[in-house]
Amino acid sequence: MAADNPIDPIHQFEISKIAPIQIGGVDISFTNSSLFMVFAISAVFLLFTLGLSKKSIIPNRMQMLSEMSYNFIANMLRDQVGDQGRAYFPFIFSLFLFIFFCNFIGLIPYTFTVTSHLIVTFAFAALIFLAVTIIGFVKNGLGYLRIFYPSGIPVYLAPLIVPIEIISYLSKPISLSVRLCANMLAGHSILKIFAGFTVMLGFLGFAPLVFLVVLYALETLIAALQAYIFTILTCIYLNDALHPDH
Amino acid sequence: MSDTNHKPPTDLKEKIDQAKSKYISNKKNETKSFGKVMKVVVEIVAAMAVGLGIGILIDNYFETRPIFIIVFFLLGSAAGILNVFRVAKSLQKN
Repeated sequence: MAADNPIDPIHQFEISKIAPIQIGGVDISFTNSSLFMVFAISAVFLLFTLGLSKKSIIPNRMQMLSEMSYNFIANMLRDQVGDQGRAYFPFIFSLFLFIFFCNFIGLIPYTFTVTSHLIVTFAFAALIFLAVTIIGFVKNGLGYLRIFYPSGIPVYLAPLIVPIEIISYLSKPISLSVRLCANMLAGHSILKIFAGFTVMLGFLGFAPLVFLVVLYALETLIAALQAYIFTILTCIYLNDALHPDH
Repeated sequence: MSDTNHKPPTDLKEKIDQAKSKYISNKKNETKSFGKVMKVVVEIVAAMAVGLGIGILIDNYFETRPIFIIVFFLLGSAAGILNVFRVAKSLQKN
């Protein structure tokens, strides 16, 4: 069906196997998704090796970029979590850079957007959720369970409040992953649909083309913004785990 | 030589620290509120979905189909509103 129609906005999200690998009946093929993850990591690696190869006092552009991104995340972590968050900086920083580069590489035509697949973002969110829960229990012991029973609530309300709090807590990884995935999925679909209009309308296609340019700028903003939001929410969850009393 | 040179760097350092503290305190409120605003959007739906999921799981296990789905969907909705309420409250504080 899709092959008949040259304009197919969903085609960009299809996963194709580049090198099929099967180990013990489990499909761990190297797909185009894996390829673009490798690209994202290579881009990060390149930025930091090139940027920090010449450590000059007056930085060149690459060094500036890498130092600015470092400062940006370091400040964010300090604002949200405080000094105890310092230990988690490498993870937060890697997370931000990976999502940021995945989003931006996905904006280049003919590429694949890794973060537009819910399974990828959910894997991140679930990992963060589990890690934050474990950190909470390690740092606070069983006292961490207090987050399900806020102080100042009468005992007879506990059967109502505790399930609500538990559901609220469990909804964190879902809202975190769906937000990133839905933004990337919707944005890229709309871009493709309007690009399709441009082709179909022929001469009149300049109208959607103008819109497309504006939309592309918006998508660029969203790509950066969603990486930022994913990271800042991770920081907020981490803060909740380290300081459950607020 | 080293004595005469000693004073200016400390002044400069003070200046940098002052500038930094201003910058950080300004930025702090900005980043915090912004992250929280964006949090609201998906929050209700996610809480509802979790409530519904728990309801379906319990109902499948005990074979009491509609009861727990209804109960947990309502609890999930309440959790979603609670999430949004919290975000709004923390925004008001800033």
